[in-house]
Amino acid sequence: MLARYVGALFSALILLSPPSFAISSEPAKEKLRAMTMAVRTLSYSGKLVYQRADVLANLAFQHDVINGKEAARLRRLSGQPLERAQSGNVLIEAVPGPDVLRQGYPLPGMINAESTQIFEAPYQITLGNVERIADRSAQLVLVESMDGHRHSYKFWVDEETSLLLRSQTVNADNQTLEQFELSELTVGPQTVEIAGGQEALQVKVYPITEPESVLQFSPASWLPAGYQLVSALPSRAGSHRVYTLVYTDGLGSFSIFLELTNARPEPDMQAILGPTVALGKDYALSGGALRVTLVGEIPPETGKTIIDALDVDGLKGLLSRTQ
Amino acid sequence: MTETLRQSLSALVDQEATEFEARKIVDATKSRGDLKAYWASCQAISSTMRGESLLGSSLLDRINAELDGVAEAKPIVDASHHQADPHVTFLPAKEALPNRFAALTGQLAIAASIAFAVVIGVKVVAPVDTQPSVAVAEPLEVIKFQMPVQKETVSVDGMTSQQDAVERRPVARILTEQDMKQLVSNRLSPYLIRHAENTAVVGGTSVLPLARIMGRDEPIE
Amino acid sequence: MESPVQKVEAENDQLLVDRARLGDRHAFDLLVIKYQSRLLSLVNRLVSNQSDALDVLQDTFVKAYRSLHTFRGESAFYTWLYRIAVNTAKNHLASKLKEAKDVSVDDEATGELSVLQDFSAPDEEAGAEELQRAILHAIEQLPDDLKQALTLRELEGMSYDEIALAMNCPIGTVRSRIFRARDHVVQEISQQFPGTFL
Repeated sequence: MLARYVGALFSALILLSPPSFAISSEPAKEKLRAMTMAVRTLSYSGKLVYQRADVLANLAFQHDVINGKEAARLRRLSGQPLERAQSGNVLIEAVPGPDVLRQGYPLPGMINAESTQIFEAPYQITLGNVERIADRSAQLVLVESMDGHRHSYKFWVDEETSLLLRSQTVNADNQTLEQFELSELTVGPQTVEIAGGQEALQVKVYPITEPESVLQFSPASWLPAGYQLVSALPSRAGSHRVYTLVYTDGLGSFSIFLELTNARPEPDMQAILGPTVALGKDYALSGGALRVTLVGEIPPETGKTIIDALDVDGLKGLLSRTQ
Repeated sequence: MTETLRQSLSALVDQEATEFEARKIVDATKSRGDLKAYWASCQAISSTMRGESLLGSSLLDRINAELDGVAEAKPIVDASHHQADPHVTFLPAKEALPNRFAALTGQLAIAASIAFAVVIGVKVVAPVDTQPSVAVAEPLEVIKFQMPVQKETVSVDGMTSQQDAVERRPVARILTEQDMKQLVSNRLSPYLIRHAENTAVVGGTSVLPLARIMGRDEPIE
Repeated sequence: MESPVQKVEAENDQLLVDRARLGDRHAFDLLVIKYQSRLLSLVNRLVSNQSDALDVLQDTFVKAYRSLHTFRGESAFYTWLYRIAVNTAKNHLASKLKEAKDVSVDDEATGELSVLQDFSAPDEEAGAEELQRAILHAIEQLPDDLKQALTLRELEGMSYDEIALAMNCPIGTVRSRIFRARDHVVQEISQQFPGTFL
């Protein structure tokens, strides 16, 4: 499973800059490829700080691969305990509480993870300076959006291991929307103890599920260049089905959630959290509404354009048939 | 079994029995199998309501067999025991609250405030009875509106169904900023969580995207 | 400082523990029946399948019985039991990890180490599900005052004192309502599923 994901990402990243855009440097692309590989295949642990506007999270992390199966854990160090983790083909969430185990909704796995489908994304990828992060030497890789329909990124990649030491997401005005930065890093074999605390825990497990072919029609009649549908899955909650479509250009991603609801349509709304935009749009139907929600790390205007350009009639037909 | 004894048992389940009652029950269990059965029934009700899975008497039988030395004591670690072909069946979800998603409740501390939020295209202000489409997570802070709040007729008592809406006479009301914040939060927060999870699956940075939904409100110096 | 509720709680379990320590296995049975589902939820998170989980649970309770003399009552009995369960499960998992590392990566039939998998025989699981549905249905059919009292106790974890305040009635009435709620459900289930409980 891991090899397939890494293979897909490798294919995506090495062809991020087609010749029609500014030329990206091969060493920079190589550095980015190495980083993606390292993050998902090495064994490491440490602490990181996530910042976004007025949000700050101090987290401990662990990552290991056993028999080709990835195990990774994030644990919040301040405030109420919270842990989120991946173990093989499940995501896990754990909070203190009565000992309860629950099954969560299925998460969409990748379509055609072994495909060599090319993501033609207009980024310019170049190398910056070497800087010191977490007491280690890091090579800056600049990934600049060339079309205004995606954010830009800065990655500081550890020279020794190619692990990601710092990451910034930047908007068109060169404002930093969010930052991940490691304060500690230890590389070596890990024992990833998921939900391993002594206190009682409520644990929820989300299975990563094979995508469904019936949903591999994309309702997005307009997409920014380089974005592809990589995952599609219906999940059920009670009597409702929620359809999830996930798109990515190899770096940025957005999800579209589709539901048929008996409730009255709600007003359009939008929320912005750092690099993430969330858009809600209901289309009235007889007896209810088609509810569309788009969430992603893309510029707000791009999100609005995508959601406004959805093939709503096609969606209504598809969802009615598959309910 | 008398009702008095059953009631004492019920209180003991809740740790609310008097010492006298507790002693009486414990004494009676030596000779009363029906008492143990009633205890098990009450525990099963509690487990079911709490979303735990039920076990019958098989575990107790195994424990007693081992303690009696009837069965060979099981090793703590049985290296020979594994399933060659596991059949994956997850425990059924047991949500205490009915909601549109089997999603997280407010226990997940997604950041309570955001950079800024905008409510746009408010053609129709939602009535106060509008049920949240998904479980309510931490409210998003709406800082800026692009369009003014408009008046809308809603039921003064709050509607519980469209049928109610027909039956009750509407009264004019204007939604406050707090109402709008709650509306945005109800509508969008759970999808933010799900998208972060999706990104952790399909992205190239492992579980790092989940950090976006693990923050808390601390100002950056 | 312990609240009156905590004090009663500790005393109720302590009585059962004291009796069990003196060799009263029936008292220990009541403790097993009381805590087995909660511990199963914990153990299922830590081991790879239901069969292993039951093995771990069995080991946990056996160990607990054999070391009751070491339980001093400084923590709640469940907390003490919990620690035994976690250690037992971790030992079990460690042996499984060792076993999996020895398996070829191409062999997908073994070495599955998803943290959480639950495998019941389909019939057992269906039976448990059906029983739980019936229990929930019976609860739903209760009169509102009985249902509310039971819900406040089981889902909100409120003491009888707190429920009495919330429902504006005497504590005796709370105790009676919760008992009648349970009794009604037990009678219903016993008719639908004869011989279900022990």
